[in-house]
Amino acid sequence: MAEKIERRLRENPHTPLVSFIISLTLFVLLVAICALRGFGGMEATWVFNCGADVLGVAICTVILFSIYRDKRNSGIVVQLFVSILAANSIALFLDALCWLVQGIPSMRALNMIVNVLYYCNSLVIVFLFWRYVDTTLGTDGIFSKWCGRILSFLLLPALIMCFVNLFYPVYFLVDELGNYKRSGTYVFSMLYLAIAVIAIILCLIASNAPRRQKAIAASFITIPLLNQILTGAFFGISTQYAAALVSVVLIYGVLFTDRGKTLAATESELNMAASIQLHMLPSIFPPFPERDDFDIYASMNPAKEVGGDFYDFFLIDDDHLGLVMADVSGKGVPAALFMMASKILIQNYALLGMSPKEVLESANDRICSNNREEMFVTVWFGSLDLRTGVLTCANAGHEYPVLKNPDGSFELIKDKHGFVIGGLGGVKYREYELNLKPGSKLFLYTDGLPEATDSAGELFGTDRMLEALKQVENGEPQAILEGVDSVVNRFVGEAPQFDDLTMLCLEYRGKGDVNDV
Amino acid sequence: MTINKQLNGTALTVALEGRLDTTTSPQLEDELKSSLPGLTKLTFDFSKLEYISSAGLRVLLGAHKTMLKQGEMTVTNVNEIVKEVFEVTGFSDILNIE
Repeated sequence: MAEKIERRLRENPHTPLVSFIISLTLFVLLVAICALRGFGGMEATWVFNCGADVLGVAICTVILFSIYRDKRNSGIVVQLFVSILAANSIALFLDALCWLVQGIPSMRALNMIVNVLYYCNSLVIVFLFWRYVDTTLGTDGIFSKWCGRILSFLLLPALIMCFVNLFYPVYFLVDELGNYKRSGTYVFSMLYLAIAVIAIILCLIASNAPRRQKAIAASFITIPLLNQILTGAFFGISTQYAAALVSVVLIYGVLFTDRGKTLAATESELNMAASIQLHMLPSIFPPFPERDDFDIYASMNPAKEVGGDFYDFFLIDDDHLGLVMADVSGKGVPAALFMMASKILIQNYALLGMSPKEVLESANDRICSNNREEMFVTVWFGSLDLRTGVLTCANAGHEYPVLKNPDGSFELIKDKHGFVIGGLGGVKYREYELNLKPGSKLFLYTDGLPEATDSAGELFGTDRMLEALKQVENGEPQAILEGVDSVVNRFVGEAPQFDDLTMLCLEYRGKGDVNDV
Repeated sequence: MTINKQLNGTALTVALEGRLDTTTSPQLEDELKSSLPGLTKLTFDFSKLEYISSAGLRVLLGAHKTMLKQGEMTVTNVNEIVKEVFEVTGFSDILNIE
């Protein structure tokens, strides 16, 4: 049965939410009961207990809420911790109830039931804590393994004994005046706890975990133990679960701030990576101020700190300009790494003077030979002959380019698509030609643009993109990009940026062929 | 995204409902990893698939390559959006689409 509890925990992703709701409900219930009943007829120490319990449940609820909210929290350790916290909250609630019904003859039955539940919950929390220590500091020690087996095996019988107490005062009884009293054999209720404490101590001794972690885990025993030593002799003070809560909060503080430190380090590394990536893309405009036969502008806005989109342009020789627009599958660090490799490969093959078809085929074969993660990249590559305006291009699974000729408007060029690069080795690509005239403008982009989503889930689409382009088509490349960018931002509104947004615009000014496309 | 699997001997049909993107593709990847060994026929039913991103394409490509060695893979019931993604990326020439 113990294994069933744990398996249920492991497989249920909603434990943080459920635990939070349970704790919140108990808090509201407890406050309501206290308000309705008042504290008449209660000893001062009992009221003190209730107060501490109410505060305790509130603290559990708040911590559970913050764990639930952080979606990063998952895994069996968090599940166990959250369950302990929920059980602790239940213990505090039951403890308060015990005092609220103490000494009231008409509440005898409720007194008995609440106390039985309290005992049962105590067993469960002890078992959960053993599982927590075993999972986080686990060892292969023979003693701790056997203790673990005994604890799992004994859980059900121990719970049954609690229920037996409803009929026969094994551990305690509630007399005619409604007073809870421990019975002669009360001490046997501590048996399970004693075994668990031994097991946990053995586990802590044998474990190789850092001393700090062990000390924090041990506090779950030492703090309540200290509390018991100080207050155990007095009937009327039952603050052991409030004491346990102190330890739980300690564990929470350590568990979740350690994560915070690692996170901060990763963040600063990511920022550096973003900077490296940004500076790898040509970003100085105008890039070739001495040339007046073309103008170019490009921008890349990653969805995360680093992205998988890239553009590139470079002079292959005095008369040829290479243009690249590409999109790596995925986002973030993996895509960024793949992007760096792809960009360098494509540029190198292009600078060797290969035709666009050959550039893509060579890059594809190279990437496929080293591609265990099976990522791929969509690429559009073009080589513009600056003397004639002939743009030779090839498309490997990338979005359709958009072309505006001086006497027309922006139109989608539905070129033939080869397969994405990095997908399969040996793929062949097809070249085609576009004839640019002086004043022609070419617009390249990645799917982050047509697939930009607003908060209603609607996509921006290529139609809106063409409309936006037509609004600004008489401007310079930079003005065109800025215009499109502001239209997209207005459309997306408050919704988070889902994909990298990358655009490039080229205006050809030089001498071109008079013939039409 | 919900994944519905139906196994008939060594033929598996996988129906997806929702979006296959960066957040949901690891889920599909895990499911396929455990289900693919020993299969001779894999069919994807995309009638309830709203959208697919490059992360989803990557998982499909992986499945396609695996099934090339063991049998065959087919993609059925794609909607307009998904169909266009397949065409633009060239996947429509590589995958078996019905």
